[in-house]
Amino acid sequence: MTITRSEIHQLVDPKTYAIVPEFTLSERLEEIRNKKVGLIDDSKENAKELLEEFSSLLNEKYAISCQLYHEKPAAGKPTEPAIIEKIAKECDFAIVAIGS
Amino acid sequence: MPDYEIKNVEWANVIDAIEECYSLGWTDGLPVVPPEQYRVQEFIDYVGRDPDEILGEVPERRRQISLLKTAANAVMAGCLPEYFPVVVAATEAMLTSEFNLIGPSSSQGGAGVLVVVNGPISREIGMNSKDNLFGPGNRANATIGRAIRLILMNACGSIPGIFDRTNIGHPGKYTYCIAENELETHWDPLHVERGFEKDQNAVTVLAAWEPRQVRSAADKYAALDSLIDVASTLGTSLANDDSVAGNGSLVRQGQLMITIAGASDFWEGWSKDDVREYIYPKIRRSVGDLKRVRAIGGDYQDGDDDRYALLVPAPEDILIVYAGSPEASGYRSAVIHSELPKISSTAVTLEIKDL
Repeated sequence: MTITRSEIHQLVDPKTYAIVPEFTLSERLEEIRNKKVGLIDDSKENAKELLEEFSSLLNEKYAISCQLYHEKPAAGKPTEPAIIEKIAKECDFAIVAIGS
Repeated sequence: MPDYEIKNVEWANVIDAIEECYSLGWTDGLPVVPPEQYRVQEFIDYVGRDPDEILGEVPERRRQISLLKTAANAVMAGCLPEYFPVVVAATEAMLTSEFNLIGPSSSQGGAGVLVVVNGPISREIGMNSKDNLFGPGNRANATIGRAIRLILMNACGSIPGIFDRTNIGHPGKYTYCIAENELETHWDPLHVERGFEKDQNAVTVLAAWEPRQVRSAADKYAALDSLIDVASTLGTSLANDDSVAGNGSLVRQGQLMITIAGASDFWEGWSKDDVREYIYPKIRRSVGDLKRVRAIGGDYQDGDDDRYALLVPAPEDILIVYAGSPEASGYRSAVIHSELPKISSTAVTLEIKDL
């Protein structure tokens, strides 16, 4: 039996690694009463029902109004940048419902 | 090649080398060819492009997929350098926004990325388009499809149980690549139907479930009615009422691929469009059936069994490929459902360059 000596081999790493750009979080709201909310429905089952119930509760308890409701055309697609921009301009905060 | 892309690994023999790649977490569960730098460089040299060129991104996972990473995975899959242009084009295709990789590569539905190769290159590199179409035995088919899965796992982050949330999946998630048998049919090849010339090389990717084989009597209408029956099954992700794009359809509508084997003269006088025209309006389910399995809501009403929901958006969303044994006795075909509605993921065809 031949004994083979170990050798160093140079391999190319096939993996990629996440490159996360610097970002800052939006300022947190100190008070939510009388604010405007934007709602995003991912179009999956129960998302609509959840958002309807939740926005009704927010309105009842904190007088929060629903400024914008957006249903995505498909759950697997990202929300259009124009919609996100509109929510950022017109709403104080947003809620996304992920149905199942 | 940047130093940070290189790992120095020590081994004494081929078994050690294979085991090292397992230890590094680089495999799909099967042994891989170690991506030695000199071999990866041969692949890059073959296409003559910059190794740092970004072929596309998976923005949701903050990943950029370079030519270098694509080459390393193609080496590991067991490809030859001359297969690499196909792997590059398929990678670029699955990283387009129309394909929307985040959907099929993370969905619980469990898609494989089906790669169909058209044009002279499929013959030049010896791809199989005939017997045992989706089965083992051909290096180009097996390793190109496997390279795509390794790229998905290593470069795109689709690690099972982490970003790949597939509940069941199918064997095509290891490798899923075929060629069309263009020389033994009067039909236009898939890439010609999708806008390319016959002598151009092209690759088509589809986020697909497994091929369901169909056997029927050797009669055109019997064959097509059998296909329609399988394509219209309730047990697909299309029998579902979310992600319907607000276009008024009751259920998801997705693309469909059909591979057809057997002697081409069986279809004498018929074009692929003729096949589509016959089957498209019949790939459907009744509202009654959809309600009974709770694919759509609501109580059953009189007449629901006479109202229908179409499952495919348009005739051109049925992709027909002439492939499989031309000597098939009786009639053989396969139906392959898209895992997702078309709005979420659409088949993409790109030219294969760098030859």
